Amino acid sequence: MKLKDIKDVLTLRSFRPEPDDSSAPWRKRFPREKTLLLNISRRRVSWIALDRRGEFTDAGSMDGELKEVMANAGPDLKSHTDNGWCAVSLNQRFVITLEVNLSRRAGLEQQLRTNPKAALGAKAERGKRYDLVHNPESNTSLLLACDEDAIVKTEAMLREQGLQAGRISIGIYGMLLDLISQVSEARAARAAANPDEPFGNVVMVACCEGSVVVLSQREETWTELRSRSDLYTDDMTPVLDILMPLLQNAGPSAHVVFMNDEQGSNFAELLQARAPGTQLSEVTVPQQLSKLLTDL
Amino acid sequence: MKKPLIIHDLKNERPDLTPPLPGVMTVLPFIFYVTVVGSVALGAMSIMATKKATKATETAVASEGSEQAQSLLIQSELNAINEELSQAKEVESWVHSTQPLMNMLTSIINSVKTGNTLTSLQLARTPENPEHVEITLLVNNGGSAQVEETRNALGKEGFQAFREDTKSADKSTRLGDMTYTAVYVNTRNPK
Repeated sequence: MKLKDIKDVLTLRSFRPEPDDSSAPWRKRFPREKTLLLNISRRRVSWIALDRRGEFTDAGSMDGELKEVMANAGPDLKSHTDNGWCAVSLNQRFVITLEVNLSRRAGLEQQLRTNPKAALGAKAERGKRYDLVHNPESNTSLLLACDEDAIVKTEAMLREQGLQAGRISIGIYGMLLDLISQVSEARAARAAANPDEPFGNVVMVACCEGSVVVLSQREETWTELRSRSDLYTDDMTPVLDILMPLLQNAGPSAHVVFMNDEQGSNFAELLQARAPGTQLSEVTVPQQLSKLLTDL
Repeated sequence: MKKPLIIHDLKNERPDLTPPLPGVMTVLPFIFYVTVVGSVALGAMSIMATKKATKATETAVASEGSEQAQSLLIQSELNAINEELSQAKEVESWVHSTQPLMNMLTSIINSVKTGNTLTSLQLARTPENPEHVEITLLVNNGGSAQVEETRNALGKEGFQAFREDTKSADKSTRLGDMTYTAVYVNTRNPK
């Protein structure tokens, strides 16, 4: 037993998850501690701090690649943290695909982190990191692949500025999983209230600082998925270009469920202009992406 | 309540990552802190009690000296008082011993009948037995009758005679001169 272990027990640190323990919620890892949330796109970095009371403060953004932003604003970003810990949402160099008949054996998710080749077989590529979510009611799965190089370089650039990554995730993928969870809950509630009434087709749209993912669901089955990064800037019209083919395939009664990284987008107006009468539910909450990154 | 979604993490998992200790074990550091605080409090109380006891000992030692001096003073005063008491007792016993002589003398003088005369009267007592009064009475005229009168008078006053003796040059002791010696003790007030 080291002296640090004894110190950690006496300061109650040992009773909390370690700062880089990905299985623990963010606020349990950093109770009453200032941390930083970074959203890194190809040509823009935005950030917001989570203060000791659990409130979001000091939001900001800067155009440019992460390297340039870190060189200019690194010390300022570090000052928004107590111990340099930050959660990162990468908004580039990822691919989300819809897979069919992937293995669902126990421990596959853990194996995917350590040995993707053994978990995915021929689908695995070198230099990629993966995450996987199965549809519990069909044979479809969502597979996220991200360039390992992007993760390693991001960690290194943060480290140069005294920042440590407590979590590196793909924000839009997290938003899509949140959408799936909400739709699944709504479907379960509908089935309990009206067992004979079909739930219908749902098209889930997640947008995050220029990236978009559209997933089409027919009853319990995921049928189509489109994913693009750096698709748009302020004008969300390109999102509709991606959405419309899936919406047409889903049929006129399809329900669109939309989530953006922040409230206040004009997606609803654009959709009504392009496809009048389409049912739309926007489930975006204030600081949507930040809340997802901090498990709130 | 909806369980919060824990978002995925793509960074490398540290191999020596350890799970948090069970919450029930938080009692251990609290026991440690309570023990430390208790030890400090107990130590402080012990130091205070030791200081107090030391001070009390010093005070007791200091007062012991003055008490001893006081005791010696009282003892010397007591000795002086005892000495005075013994002297006073001696005086008292002398006073008490001299008290009966007046009654005795008065009784003897009152017992002398008209026409009888006394040559001398001696009353004596010894320091060893101050209650014993030795009488030597020389009767010039009156003889044994006068001695008898005197004895009766002393007997009425409560004086008891022993070792009596009478001497006379004349055979007719009834009315002639006579020497009467006796030792008397006051039986009414035997001090």
